[in-house]
Amino acid sequence: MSSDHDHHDHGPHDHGPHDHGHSHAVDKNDPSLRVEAIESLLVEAGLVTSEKIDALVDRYQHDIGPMNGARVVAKAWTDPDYRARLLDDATAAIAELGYGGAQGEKMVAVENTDDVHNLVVCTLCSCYPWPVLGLPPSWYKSHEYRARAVREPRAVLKEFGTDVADETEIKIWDSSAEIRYLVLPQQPPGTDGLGEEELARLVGRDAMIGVRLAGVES
Amino acid sequence: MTNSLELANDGPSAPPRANGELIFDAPWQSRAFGIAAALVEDGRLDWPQFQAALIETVPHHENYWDAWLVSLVDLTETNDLIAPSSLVLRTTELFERPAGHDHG
Repeated sequence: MSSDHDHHDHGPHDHGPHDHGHSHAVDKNDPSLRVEAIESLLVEAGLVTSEKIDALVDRYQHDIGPMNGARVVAKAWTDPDYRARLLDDATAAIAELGYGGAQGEKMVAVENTDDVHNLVVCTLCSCYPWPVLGLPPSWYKSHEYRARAVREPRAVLKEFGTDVADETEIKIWDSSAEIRYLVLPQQPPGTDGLGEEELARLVGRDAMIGVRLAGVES
Repeated sequence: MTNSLELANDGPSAPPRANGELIFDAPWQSRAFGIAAALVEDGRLDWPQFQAALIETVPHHENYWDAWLVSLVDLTETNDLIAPSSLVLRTTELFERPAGHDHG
């Protein structure tokens, strides 16, 4: 940590004693007061920065969203029967693990192989399998992604750092209000001995959209 | 390599979630979460120790994040990151600061 004295005078969470921006707590035991006190003491002691707290909240809120989908994928990797059920009827197989859409959309899992790489897009709007992937990333909703994923998928994948061999076919799946697609990525090499929980951590949101491979940091 | 929070999926130490997303009902809850995450990441708090504290405290609280805050206070004090007296003093100062926002 390099910041020493520069953390008193900037940032949205400047909790000096003359900070008038906060609402006045009515109860001395208000937890928001205690949290603010903890943060201000730790910041003054140089043990945390408010910027770091901001970043971590953001990261955990967004990165663990896809955990449900990751568990589906990890189970499919370790359990061939489950994999078969997932590819046959993803809605039912995902429901087995307790996940499902409130609006009852049909889920379809598409399997990456050496011959086929799958990529999901919603060309009309931003349909997304949120019960398994959490909230969609902002780029998924962009006009650019929606148009280019169909027109030049290889170039789009390259921008995500994903090189797909020329002989591998790229299939585009257009999500709709009725059908939501989940990519079943290939299990990274050398991970056969891992358990489901460990494998699930290798499965990022982007791998289940198809823009990256599993095991590749986003 | 930094340390991360291996948040449990179920059991008493698992945080509330909807569709995989963490659920915070108030800003202080996400703040308390972020403070603990930052301290764990920098190795100032031990995550297994924090989880053990959660397992202990969650059953005694109606709200998960209340238990999180109790654990955070407890462990920042036992790990000498914050002195108990300074926390009481600072909380009082913050409580007694001028309201400022409603003098118009």
